[in-house]
Amino acid sequence: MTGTQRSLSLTRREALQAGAVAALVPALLQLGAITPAEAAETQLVFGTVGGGWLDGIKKIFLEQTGFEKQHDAKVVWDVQADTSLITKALSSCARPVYDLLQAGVTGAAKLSAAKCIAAYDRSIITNLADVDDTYKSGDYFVAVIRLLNGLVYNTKHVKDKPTSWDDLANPKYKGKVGIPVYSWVGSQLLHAINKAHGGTEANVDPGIKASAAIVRGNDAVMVQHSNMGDQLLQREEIWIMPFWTGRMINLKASGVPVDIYYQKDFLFADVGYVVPSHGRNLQLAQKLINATLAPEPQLEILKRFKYQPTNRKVVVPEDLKAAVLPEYAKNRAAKIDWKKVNEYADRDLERWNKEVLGS
Amino acid sequence: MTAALYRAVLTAIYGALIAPLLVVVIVSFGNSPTFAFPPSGFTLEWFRLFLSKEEMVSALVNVSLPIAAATAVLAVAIGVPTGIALSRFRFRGGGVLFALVNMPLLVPQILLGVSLLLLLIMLNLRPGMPWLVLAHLTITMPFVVNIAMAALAKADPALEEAAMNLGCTRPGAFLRATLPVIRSGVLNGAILAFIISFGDINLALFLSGPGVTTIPVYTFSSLMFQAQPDIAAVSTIQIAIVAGLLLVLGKTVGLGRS
Repeated sequence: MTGTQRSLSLTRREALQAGAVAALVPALLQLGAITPAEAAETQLVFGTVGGGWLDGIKKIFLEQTGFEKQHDAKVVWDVQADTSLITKALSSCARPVYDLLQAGVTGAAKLSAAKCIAAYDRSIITNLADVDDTYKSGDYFVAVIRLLNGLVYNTKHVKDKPTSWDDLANPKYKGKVGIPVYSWVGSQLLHAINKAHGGTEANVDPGIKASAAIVRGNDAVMVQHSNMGDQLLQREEIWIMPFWTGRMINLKASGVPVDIYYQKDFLFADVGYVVPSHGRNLQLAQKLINATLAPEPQLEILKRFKYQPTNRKVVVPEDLKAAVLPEYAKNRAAKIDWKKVNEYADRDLERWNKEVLGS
Repeated sequence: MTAALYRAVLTAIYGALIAPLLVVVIVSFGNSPTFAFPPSGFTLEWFRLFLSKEEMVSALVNVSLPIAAATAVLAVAIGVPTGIALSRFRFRGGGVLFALVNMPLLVPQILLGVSLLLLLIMLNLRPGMPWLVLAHLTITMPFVVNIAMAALAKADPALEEAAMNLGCTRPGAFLRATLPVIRSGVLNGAILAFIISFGDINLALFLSGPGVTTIPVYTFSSLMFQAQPDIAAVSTIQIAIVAGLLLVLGKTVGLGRS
């Protein structure tokens, strides 16, 4: 070994030691985060999905309402995928990780069946009185927004306006149909298609058959998430898919030739917030839910995301009328009992994988 | 002809591996708010947007980087001695230890994540950074230990014996004669541990706690709802961090050379 090498070797060692110390210090400092579950008092742990939605709800539900100041609370976000929010809430049922979390109707039904979420206290969530029962599931879930899901189609390529779920199986659109994957909206979609074809929550034979005709028979493109749906429609790689109204409005505004039709048994997805039954801040969490249901934040959400508000006192501006359900589609939505659906969840997933995807 | 074909195949394989990364990098500088590719113009707007998002910056700087760095250091600190013990010494339970170290490779990581979450809840602990480091240790240890063992297999024990004959103690002989020979393997293990931890989503989905969301979880969650190209910008930063790390270590300690 030469003198130069020896000198270099020493420098490297020092550099590596310094690097190791530099790497460990921040992590070890964070070890202070080891706290028993009971430690936090005024922190409100809020489980939600991220991205533009997080930016929006932070601004609208917290900053604009002044919630944190008003209640001397600090909201701490746990940004997750929506499926892992439910898994974490189920896993931590007895000692909840969250004070409140975002859930859809199916997720909330699962949590309720496992007795992991509490009934709302109407004396705290006073805005519940201004929300129609159609947006509520039992006493544990209320939708803050309703995402309408109709047949979004490219007006340049789809000349005949679609009228039913069966349009997705039309051979004219072979390879140009988008279908959400099961873990995203696929499971709900299966039951909407099933209802349209005469099935029930217990008997999904018609839905499986019709879905297979779309997915395998018509070479549907499996869409992983909303963002992917946007891109596929924008690039005209797909011409028709069951998709959200808000997305359609934004695509249209950016020059993509799309429109929407709400077919019989169309799907909608309600998004709301639920409160774990053994949460440490039950009252505060419900105060925040009450704030999300007030007319002003609901209008702001409509303006920002183009999702239908649920508080009947919201006055929808003329230029946002396209974001709410049109008159012709009233009473056309699929009526699905999600608690019953959950009873057959494993069977449905297995059949979807085998018979619809053919895997 | 054979060499040309070999080069063409290699280029095609590496091209296919690198192409998606290039797309992400280009999109992050593109002026389209909808991930359009190829972009019609260039901007730094998405990097500015990323920097303006407190949660996102924190997920990268305060969560993912410290976790990956701590995992790499601890994986080497524990994994290299384990590798030495397993490859240089015969002891009772050595086979069991080797099997235990490698067991996480057999368990789907998503299941490992759920199981560890259930364990934490049982122990009345909340998911968070220390547990994520521990979880990442379990999945990176097999790589560090096996790389260390492979490097040791190439190190001639006679070197250590010679050093001891010249007056070194056993630890001194290891540090002076063997460690320089396996240095590259140790660093490769550390880098691999860093990269695995930095990119993990399966464990982080369940073990990241309030306020400690890792950047892959944040990115995944954002993509599912309403993603903007700031996701591409932060992905470009991640690619740059890993590439920069490889480059700096390659230059300073000569990765790939044993």
